[in-house]
Amino acid sequence: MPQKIAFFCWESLHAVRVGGLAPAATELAESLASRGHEVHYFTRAAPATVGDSALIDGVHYHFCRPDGENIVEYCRVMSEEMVEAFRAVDDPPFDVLHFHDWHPVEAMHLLQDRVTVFSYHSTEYGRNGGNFGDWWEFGEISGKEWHGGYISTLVMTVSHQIRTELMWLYNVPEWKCTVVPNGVRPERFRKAVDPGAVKRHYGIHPLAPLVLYVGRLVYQKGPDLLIEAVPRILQKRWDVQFIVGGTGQMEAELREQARGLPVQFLGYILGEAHLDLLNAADVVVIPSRNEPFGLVLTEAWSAGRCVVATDVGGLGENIEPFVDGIPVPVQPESIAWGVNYVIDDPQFIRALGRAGRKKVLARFDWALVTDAALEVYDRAKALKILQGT
Amino acid sequence: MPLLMRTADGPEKQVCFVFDLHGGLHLRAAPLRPRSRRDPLELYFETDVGRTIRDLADRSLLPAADALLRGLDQGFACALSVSGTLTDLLERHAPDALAALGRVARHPGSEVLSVPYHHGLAALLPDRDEFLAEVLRHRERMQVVFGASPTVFSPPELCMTRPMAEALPATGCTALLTEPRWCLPRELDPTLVYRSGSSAVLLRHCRLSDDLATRFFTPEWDRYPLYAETYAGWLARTPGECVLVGLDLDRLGDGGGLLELVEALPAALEESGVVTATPSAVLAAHPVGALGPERELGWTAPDEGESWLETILQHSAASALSRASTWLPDREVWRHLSSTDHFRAMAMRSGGCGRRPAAVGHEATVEAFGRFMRALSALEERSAAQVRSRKAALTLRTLPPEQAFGFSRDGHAAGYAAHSLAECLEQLAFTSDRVVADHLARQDFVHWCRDALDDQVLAEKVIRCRNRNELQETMQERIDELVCRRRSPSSAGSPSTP
Repeated sequence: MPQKIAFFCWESLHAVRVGGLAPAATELAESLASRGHEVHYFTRAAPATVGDSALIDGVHYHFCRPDGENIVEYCRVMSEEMVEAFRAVDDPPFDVLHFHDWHPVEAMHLLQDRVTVFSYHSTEYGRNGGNFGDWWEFGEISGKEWHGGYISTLVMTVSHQIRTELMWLYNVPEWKCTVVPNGVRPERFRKAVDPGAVKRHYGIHPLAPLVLYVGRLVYQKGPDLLIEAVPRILQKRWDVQFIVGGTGQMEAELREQARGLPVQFLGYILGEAHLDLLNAADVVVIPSRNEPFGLVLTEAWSAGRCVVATDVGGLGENIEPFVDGIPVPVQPESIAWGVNYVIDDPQFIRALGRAGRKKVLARFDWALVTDAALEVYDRAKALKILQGT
Repeated sequence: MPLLMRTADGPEKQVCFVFDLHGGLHLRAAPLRPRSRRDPLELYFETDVGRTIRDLADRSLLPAADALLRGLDQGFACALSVSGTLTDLLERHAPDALAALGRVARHPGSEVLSVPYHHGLAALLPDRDEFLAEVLRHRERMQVVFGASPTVFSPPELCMTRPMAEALPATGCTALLTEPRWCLPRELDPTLVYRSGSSAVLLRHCRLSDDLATRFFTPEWDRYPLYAETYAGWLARTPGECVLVGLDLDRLGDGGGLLELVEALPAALEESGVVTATPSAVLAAHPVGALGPERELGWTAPDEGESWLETILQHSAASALSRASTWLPDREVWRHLSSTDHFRAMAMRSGGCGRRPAAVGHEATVEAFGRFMRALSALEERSAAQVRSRKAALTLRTLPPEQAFGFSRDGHAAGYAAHSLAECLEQLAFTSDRVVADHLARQDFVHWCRDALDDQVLAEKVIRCRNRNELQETMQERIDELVCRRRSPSSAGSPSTP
């Protein structure tokens, strides 16, 4: 039976995109809408966004334009604007309210009498590389994450590792938390390219092995670990080239760290350029210190790429060692070992990529993920009825 | 040849064992200076290989031939693929081993396969005439040493290409063996018989081949140790029309019990009800004309992600070899240089699908590449005297790594170098603007043209180049001019590409 579902998320593919949260939430919303559900997506407007609402790919988007002196204040204002927009379309009332990450938790606080599902795509502890911070934002954000888990009807998260993290970090009860992985649309990341031509475009010899990193240049994602691994990789094979796609606060220090090494920083790579590189790279490295799920893994697999990734969170859970990827400990020596293990064996590289693609098609299809999300919604509704009686 | 047992559904599944044997000459670290009455091959290759060949014969070939002969007498069937180069070496240094292989080859239960004489990369180069010459020369050699006229072709490294497949009927071969990775569509069932045009195609079963060639020697393998009975059981349980198992024959001399397993196989296969056959016997049971359109296959191309030449070094060496082929008056040394052994040594990992696995460090690949390029450079330098313009041939020749133009970025090697004017032009097409600008500012190209290529005329033109386009145009013009000048009387009709 069609449901009326509200999504609250501070980013989306159609306005402001920050990281992996945007595709994860947007594509789930689209998948639900394609099943006949009425989905409303409350999010921020980008500077170029026109109007306050839009119907895109079957999903009703409602844009807010918050302001604030700091991130916490900004998200509080955003939550209030989201609730205002929500109330304007809450007739007939929504069946389920799905909140993504800590940013709209104050909206959930205002709507806590409704059926709410809170998705943790990450935690502040995880974004900080698995460390506690002593600055005030860390405490505020962690507090909101705890509060979201406490007041929501049910909790969803993307891997067993983060579920365990939520249980000890925020005392989220095991019964309340369900693992629903992120889905992917493999066809969006697969492109027939001539790898030699793509490499030439970046001034790389067409037969030089290319190692690709795509992600934000922040501590959590570990790009510094990859750069530190580069000399060790070159010791084994001198012609390997590296491309780093993404921006972030570590960019300047990473450029300095990579001085004299065959590493190119391309900034944020989008669209066709991203697809070309993803499909031309020999190895995709994911050196994260903490990775609740790791969308870049399923994207690389969708393109049939060989992946060397740190054995953390969703990466460690989803990679079958030496079958569809090479999981390694979180340290530069191990990342270098992983790359060196495959780099001189093109046939093995291709075999790992093919196995990864098969896994994506079998396990991370949006149809399967949407079924799992709908099951959580049904349980949340049943639970709310029970709580009401 | 064993009689085929037929079932109600068609011919019974057959198992083909193919044993490959190739060994070329090893390159010297540096070519020798030419002296009168010295064999030209001696200048470039280690020709004092008697002890090595004798060792190969005693360790592998004689025991293996004995084991195969005993098996053949028990009804076992197999095929042999032996390069012409190796038969020459055996004839000179181990005639008893060649005679023993001859006994295997002449047995009614065996079949001799066709390969290019020098097991050369020439097959992968776009030179149809050279390919045909190599295959026909091998056929003649097989007739002389084994009394055989092969009709089933086995490409070097099992790497089949579209041009090779198209040229094959002209060699008299009606079928070929290859690996699934070179075929389209991908992920073919290797146990079926296919066709490509008028040729029948059999695919090697890589997993069952590597069980013997690689995993058999690995104590960490969960099926270690492997016995003949177990292996025969796997073959028996593998469905299909034909299971093609390939193995390097000299692997039987590596100890570890593989020779004993092969000796025990005929009885174990009989016990398991497995019928062995030669490739021709399999094809007789599955004639090309009876294969439906769903069995038609095509060939992958390098730009579709599959190429036997996978590294910069291999590609650089193969391009240099291909360029040299357009003008060298005498191809004999060139043919020995084309042997796939030299190119395999330029990759850090090789083998697989029944071939001997090898893993080496990049220093070893650079050393193999250096030996090859020094030999080719010396060959071109010495051949320059035989063409109209010696100076043109010298400027266009391949350079040894010591004289190559190393592209660099911020003072660090960019990972590739130009070993000739033509290769420099190729690399200028993709190297970054900043790299080109840095080299121009330092006049590196000018110095290279003057000191390494010894071309003062080009150096004076390059000094005026201000950007990549001007540099490319200047180099291309000079190449065209020198190619015209270089044409020798014997190669007047050959293509003018450098």
